[in-house]
Amino acid sequence: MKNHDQELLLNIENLHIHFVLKKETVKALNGVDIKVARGKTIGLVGETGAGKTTTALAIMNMIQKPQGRIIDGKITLDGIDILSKNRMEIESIRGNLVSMIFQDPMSSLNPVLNVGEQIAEGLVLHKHMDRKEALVEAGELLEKIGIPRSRACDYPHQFSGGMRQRVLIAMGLACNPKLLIADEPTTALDVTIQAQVLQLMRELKANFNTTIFMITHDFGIVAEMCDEVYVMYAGTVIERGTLTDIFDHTRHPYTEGLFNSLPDIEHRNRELIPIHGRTVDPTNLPAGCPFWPRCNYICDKCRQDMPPEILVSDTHGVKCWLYENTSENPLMRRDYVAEENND
Amino acid sequence: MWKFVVKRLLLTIPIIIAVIFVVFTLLHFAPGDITMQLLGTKWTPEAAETLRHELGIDQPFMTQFINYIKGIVQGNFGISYISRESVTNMLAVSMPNTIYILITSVVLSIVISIPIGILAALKPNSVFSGITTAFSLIGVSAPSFWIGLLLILLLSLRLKWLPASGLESFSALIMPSVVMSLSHLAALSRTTRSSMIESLRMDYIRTARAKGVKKKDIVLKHALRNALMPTVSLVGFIIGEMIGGATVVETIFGISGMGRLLVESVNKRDINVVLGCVTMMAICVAVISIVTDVAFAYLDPRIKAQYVSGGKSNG
Repeated sequence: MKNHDQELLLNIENLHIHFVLKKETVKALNGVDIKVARGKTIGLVGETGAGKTTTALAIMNMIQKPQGRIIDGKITLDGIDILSKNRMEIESIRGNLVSMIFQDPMSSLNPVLNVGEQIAEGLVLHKHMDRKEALVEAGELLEKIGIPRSRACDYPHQFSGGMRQRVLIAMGLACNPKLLIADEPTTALDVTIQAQVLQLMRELKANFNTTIFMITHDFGIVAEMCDEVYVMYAGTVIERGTLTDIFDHTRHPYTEGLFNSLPDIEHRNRELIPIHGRTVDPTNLPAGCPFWPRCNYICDKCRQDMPPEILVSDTHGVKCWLYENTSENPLMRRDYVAEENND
Repeated sequence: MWKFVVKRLLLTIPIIIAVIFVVFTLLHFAPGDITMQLLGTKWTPEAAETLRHELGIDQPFMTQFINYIKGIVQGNFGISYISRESVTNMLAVSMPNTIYILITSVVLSIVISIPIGILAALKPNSVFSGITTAFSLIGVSAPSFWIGLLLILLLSLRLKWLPASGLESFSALIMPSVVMSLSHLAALSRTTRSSMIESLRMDYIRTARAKGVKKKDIVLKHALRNALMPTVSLVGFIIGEMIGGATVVETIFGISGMGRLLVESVNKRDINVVLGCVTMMAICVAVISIVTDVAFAYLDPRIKAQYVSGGKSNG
């Protein structure tokens, strides 16, 4: 057990976060459990509003207060209980032990400070370098991400979107963090630049052995980058497993719906099957499983109780009553069906 | 950067000449005969003719204007019709007084309103923020001559803490500066507050927090510099207003500054002095707008890039 704990870099247990507004309470996270082993890349997928970014911000202890309230739960990062730290302590953890890359490179860099300065800032804070050393080091980091050192004195407006995202990555990696959270790092970029950025992240992972926590809604990126996948819906993880578990042995009806709504290059004329209905309103969650209003496999129990996590294999867990008594897979994922028809 | 400043200075010259032209024309064609006023009972057509010649106002309009501009270039603003004193000397005596008040007022407004704006932005819904809003409202609504008179009544006449008029000691600067800055404090602190609130919401502030930057540095290094742009442009504008407002304040506090000189010369129809004052004020405002632009470029590299040619473009 002890050994197992040491392998775990990040452990999120039963995390509940609500945003209490004047008129309503947004239940953003409702019991999130995520375990990340050292050196792995995990992908967190789900629709907009599923709670992905809130989870990431909670790991940084950056939930907006006083509206954001951590109702319950615990986050352990490298043996440190993140949520119990005071401001000073958490400031020395952010950017040092864990850092985060945000989704919009256009607005995430400070327009009035040059990029060298912005990269060096973290080094001065956490590695206790003086400003000169830090600027030299920042130049080296820029070289590593493929931007000439001479451009360290340039300002963000002088860079393209892809370059700015790379600068943000350099900034995230400056202090060699154990965990790098990437919140949709490629969403704002066009496809070729996206590929470059992903390639860069893979190289950096190989060189620094950084654990990456990747938030995305793009299954293509998950397939390319991740070892393990967590699928979120309405502030809870509804299915988790290895890449093969999720992609080839999909269990949860929601995950199935996500796959069914993806275009398939081999069957281009096929209609996409969307998940009917809308994402649940986090201010007014239904009783029972939050997915039942949209589910095709609904039973009475779904409307009453939230299913616990059921392990269908050692690595594969799913929160769905379908697997309460059986481990057989009743789902009819379209590509399976299609393959059978083709055969 | 210097190239830009020089360019801006050169561009200012036609603007100032245009201002002088407008004022010169208005005064030239204003009804009434200056010689009658000056000679009074001694007026005869001959005496008037001699006086006109002496003052140089017997020449055609454009010649007079060109001569006036020539004089200014050489630092000669002509002579006062009434005291026959050199206007350049009169300005040299009165301008420093106005500049003292201006500087203390501007410094006072900035030193008070920017910290207030920042604090109010950090706690936008606090009691402190509410009090400053209320205080600001009073500052804006109350006319400065009224506040000035109240201050004189209280601090000079009743408590005898500060001199009521003149500019002999530093303490005499206090009341004029307070009156002058009071009406602008509100606008400045409110502007700083709102741009600071906006700046603190930006994505790059989140990035800085994620880097572990300390709260103090987030506010002063990351947010403030971005938030200062509207404040700086407002300061430039306010200085312009203060130059105009100096007239009232100098009159109330009996300070022999440029504003009072202007009012007195207008009353006496002392055209050359009026022109000299207006010209100097126009130059001051023009210089301040250049200083504002330079401050912009210093604060924001994107603006600097527009001024300095040959900068690297997006790529």
